[in-house]
Amino acid sequence: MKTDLAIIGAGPAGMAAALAGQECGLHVTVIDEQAKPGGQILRQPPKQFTVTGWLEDRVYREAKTLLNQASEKSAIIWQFHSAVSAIVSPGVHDNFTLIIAGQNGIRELLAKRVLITPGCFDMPVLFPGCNLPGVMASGGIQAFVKCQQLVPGERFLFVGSHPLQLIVADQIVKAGGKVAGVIFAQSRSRMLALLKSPFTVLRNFDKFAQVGAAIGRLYKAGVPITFNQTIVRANGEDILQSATVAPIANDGLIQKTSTSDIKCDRLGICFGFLAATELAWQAGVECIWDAKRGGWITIHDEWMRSTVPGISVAGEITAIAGADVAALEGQIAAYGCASSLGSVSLQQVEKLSVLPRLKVKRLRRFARILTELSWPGASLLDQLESDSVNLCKCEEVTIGSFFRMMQLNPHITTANSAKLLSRAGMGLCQGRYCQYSVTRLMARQLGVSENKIGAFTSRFPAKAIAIHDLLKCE
Amino acid sequence: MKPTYDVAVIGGGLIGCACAYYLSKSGAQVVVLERGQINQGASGQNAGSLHFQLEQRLIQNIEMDVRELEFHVGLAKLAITHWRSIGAELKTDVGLSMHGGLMVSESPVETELLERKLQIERSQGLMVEMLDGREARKLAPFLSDNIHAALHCPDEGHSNPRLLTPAFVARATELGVHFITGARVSAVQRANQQWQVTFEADTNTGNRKQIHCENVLNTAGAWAVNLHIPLYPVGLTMNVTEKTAPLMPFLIQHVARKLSLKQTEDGNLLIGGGWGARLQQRSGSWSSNASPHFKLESVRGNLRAAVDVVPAVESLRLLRTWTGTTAITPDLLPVLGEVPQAPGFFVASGGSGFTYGPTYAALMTELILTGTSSYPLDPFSPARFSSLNSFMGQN
Amino acid sequence: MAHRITKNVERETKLELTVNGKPVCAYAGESLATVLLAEGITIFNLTHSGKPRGLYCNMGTCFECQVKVHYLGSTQARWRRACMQTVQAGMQITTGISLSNLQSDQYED
Ligand SMILES: Cc1cc2nc3c(=O)[nH]c(=O)nc-3n(C[C@H](O)[C@H](O)[C@H](O)COP(=O)(O)OP(=O)(O)OC[C@H]3O[C@@H](n4cnc5c(N)ncnc54)[C@H](O)[C@@H]3O)c2cc1C
Ligand SMILES: Cc1cc2nc3c(=O)[nH]c(=O)nc-3n(C[C@H](O)[C@H](O)[C@H](O)COP(=O)(O)OP(=O)(O)OC[C@H]3O[C@@H](n4cnc5c(N)ncnc54)[C@H](O)[C@@H]3O)c2cc1C
Ligand code: FES
Repeated sequence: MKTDLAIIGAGPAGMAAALAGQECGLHVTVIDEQAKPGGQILRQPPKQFTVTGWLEDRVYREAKTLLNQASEKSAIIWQFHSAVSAIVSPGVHDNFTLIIAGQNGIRELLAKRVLITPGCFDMPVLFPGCNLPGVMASGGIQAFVKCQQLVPGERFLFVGSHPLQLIVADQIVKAGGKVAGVIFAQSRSRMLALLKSPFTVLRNFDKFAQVGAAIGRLYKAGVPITFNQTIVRANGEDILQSATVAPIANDGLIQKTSTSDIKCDRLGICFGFLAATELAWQAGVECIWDAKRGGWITIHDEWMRSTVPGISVAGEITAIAGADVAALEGQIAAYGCASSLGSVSLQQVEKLSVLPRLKVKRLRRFARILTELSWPGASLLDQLESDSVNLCKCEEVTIGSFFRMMQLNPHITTANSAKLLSRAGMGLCQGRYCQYSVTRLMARQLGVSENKIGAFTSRFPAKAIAIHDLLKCE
Repeated sequence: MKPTYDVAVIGGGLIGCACAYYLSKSGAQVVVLERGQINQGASGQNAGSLHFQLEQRLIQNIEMDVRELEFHVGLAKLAITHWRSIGAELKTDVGLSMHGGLMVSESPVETELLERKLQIERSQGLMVEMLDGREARKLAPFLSDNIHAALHCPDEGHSNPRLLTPAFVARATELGVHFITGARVSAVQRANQQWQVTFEADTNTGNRKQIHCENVLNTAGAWAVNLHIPLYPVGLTMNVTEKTAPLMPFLIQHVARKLSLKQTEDGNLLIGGGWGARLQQRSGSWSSNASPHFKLESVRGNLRAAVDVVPAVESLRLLRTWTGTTAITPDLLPVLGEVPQAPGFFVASGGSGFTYGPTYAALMTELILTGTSSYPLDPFSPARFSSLNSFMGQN
Repeated sequence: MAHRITKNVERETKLELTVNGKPVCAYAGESLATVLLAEGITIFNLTHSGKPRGLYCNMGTCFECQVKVHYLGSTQARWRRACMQTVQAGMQITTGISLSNLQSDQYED
């Protein structure tokens, strides 16, 4: 199969790009591992469900409009239940080859241009008990409510530093679940600092209104929202039974002597997001480190073109900035691809991009403030670490053993060579859940920048494939 | 001025680090210069197989090369003894397993090849035994019904490439070897009866440093190519499955297909055997810093061979495919010895360097320090390429 | 325990499958993760060292939610991410077993 523009990911960035690319006359194919378009913000219920009043809140309106427009365009080719395992750059001919794992084997797609929009995932945070069944990503909890129409537990506690946890807690309460509390590591005054700029508030009114209404409903439901507090431990023999939380003093130190236990069977973790850059790395795209905006993020030019000719990037992998920015970046990226393929003139796309560019600039400003505000701070992450906690959950490499490895092998100064010796990053998640911590920890220990530590080499397949399937062609 | 070091080793791979260890154990002052990280080259990327039987790639022209093959078997015997003592020597777990290896055939024609090979190996005193299909499956019930015969070598096995080089480094450091990483050697010159080795201490700033030494040992692997010794870089593919319960204690190879298969002590199956990967090119020449591109055909071909030999592989997931670069010579044998035109300049590279790396290192140590070695290295000497060698052009 | 939201939600057909040998009803379109949580299951598998694990990301990236699945008409059970797999009638799901487990059982067809 062949296409002009292959888009990896059917989230806001991918959908907007598909629309723009198709309008510019390109043959567009969108590939997504999920069953339906929408990405993480719009994880849709399965087609066999009928849900009335799904995600009616105003903040979802724009994304839903995009979803409707994109779904209706019959010229766009959608490939769902399909995970892109690798992007092979042109060898003899000048097309990229995407290797795609479907439900019944492997297939290849040839593409003149590739746009990578795989989004992000909840940032994992290391603390004692963080691997206990019952501890979950807040975004994951939310997806059960949005998509599967399930309240995935009995009594929820949310801990973190990102305001999204208020929205998720509210959605759980609305759906009939119990929430034991929402705990923020920051001070209330730091959270309120955002409101100091009335201009920002006005321009992003929907988002503030959504959070404001959520807070109101949570108070009404008797859900305590606390600040200057953090999770220190998840407790339970085999399953989560309670969470130990502790106050954070003004100097940023956790007061480990005045802890309290809160009963819960689900603990939602909400400290922000990490960019899903593995495919970009694999394709040779250059990334830089930004601890607050997604860890390793891709770099790009004004048309969202990456450092690899023919590959563009958009959405959360360029820096965590939310669905609106993602969609606009996707649109601009598609224009860039269309003009480079000659289906429209540069002048035309320049014109079409004026407004999206202005909007992106404004929204990014807001996104920057938001990431600044929702960043838990390196000191907190450092304090939560403890020797017996798994640094790499898949290979069960503890922080303590990793430190010992570093001590015994002072020549090891890159994430890759640390991976080789320690096995951290060699498991099924392909290092997605330990890379951020490994990078941070090594940079701190060696006193160098994270960019010097580098990333793990990203390899085929982006996600493990059954050998049985790999030997079959779809 | 007296040189600071007896030997400067270029390259922090297995061969370089093992040489550093043996040299300093014999009392030499040694420095190792590695352009990146220790073990970042072929030594950290290989399959870890301990091949003592003649490998599939070596017996392609079995009629022509009998002499060389016999010599190779002699080296294998030496390496077996060496590996048996390596754990004690290094005082570290290097994931060594020597539970035997089976080289299988799937047809009578292939079995004939096994038999021819057996004769050469037996003639040199290597312990190998021919099993028919039924016997092979009795020993290794996980083998497919298609297996026609197998050559069993009880000494074969595997060790862990992640751990072996670092273990040599740890012991060498204790003995006083200096390891300098992030140090790309850019020039080697002869001046005042000694060698002057120039390296870039920080690749970004191009901060140059120099050291002086009595001897230079080049173990830069595939990156030693600009020596004007016919060493060629080749890209190879490795596949690793998810971990699983103990399934097979043996190293499995195929006499006519590219396959090496084993289970590591961590539980993963490692599947390789010489399937190619595409070396990255930049403006027409080899881009030596970049990892080769994987090829789907190689991955599939390799996994197909594995499933044909061990059907249970099919139910596992492929966790990762990685590629590595190694050096080979036109005759597929290693290059070990002093460069005739440049006394004091030694080379050690090529040829199943994981299996034989420690042994090459021990023999090279003898050669450098005493001028001879207990096992003759002449057939491997760089002198065999003399007609091609214009060493002084090196930079 | 987890519960299905019923207000404003209509689900279609019911399917039958088994979870650890016990017959269970599920709705078409549900993920295995949903069915397991609704059954009160929190431990999805055991790590190689025997530690219990349950689902984390619910979006297919963490691989914590793997369970052993046997499909109707197949001879083998396979590890699957419960959050990414939709239920099918006749599936047999096994939870709480070690990830080292290569082939738990042979199935008859
Ligand atoms: C769990 C979660 C919940 C969130 N909830 C909200 C929310 O309620 N409100 C909000 O404003 N923001 C939310 N966000 C932030 C969200 O990232 C953005 O709002 C927005 O969805 C980003 O758009 P995107 O197009 O960059 O990526 P995404 O929307 O994440 O879309 C990326 C898509 O790519 C697919 N994909 C990734 N890799 C591959 C591959 N290799 N092969 C095939 N397909 C692939 C994924 O399945 C996904 O559908 C959430 C994020 C997460 C992770
Ligand atoms: C995928 C693969 C699988 C293999 N499988 C097996 C197997 O199963 N069994 C087996 O016996 N063999 C195997 N081999 C071969 C084996 O790995 C090599 O022969 C062996 O590791 C070579 O070791 P070395 O020290 O010579 O080279 P390397 O390990 O490549 O070391 C060379 C070092 O030199 C450094 N260097 C390069 N240029 C410079 C410079 N200018 N200045 C300073 N430093 C420099 C490099 O960075 C590198 O670290 C395999 C190889 C590959 C690639
Ligand atoms: S819960 Fe993370 S992959 Fe399923």
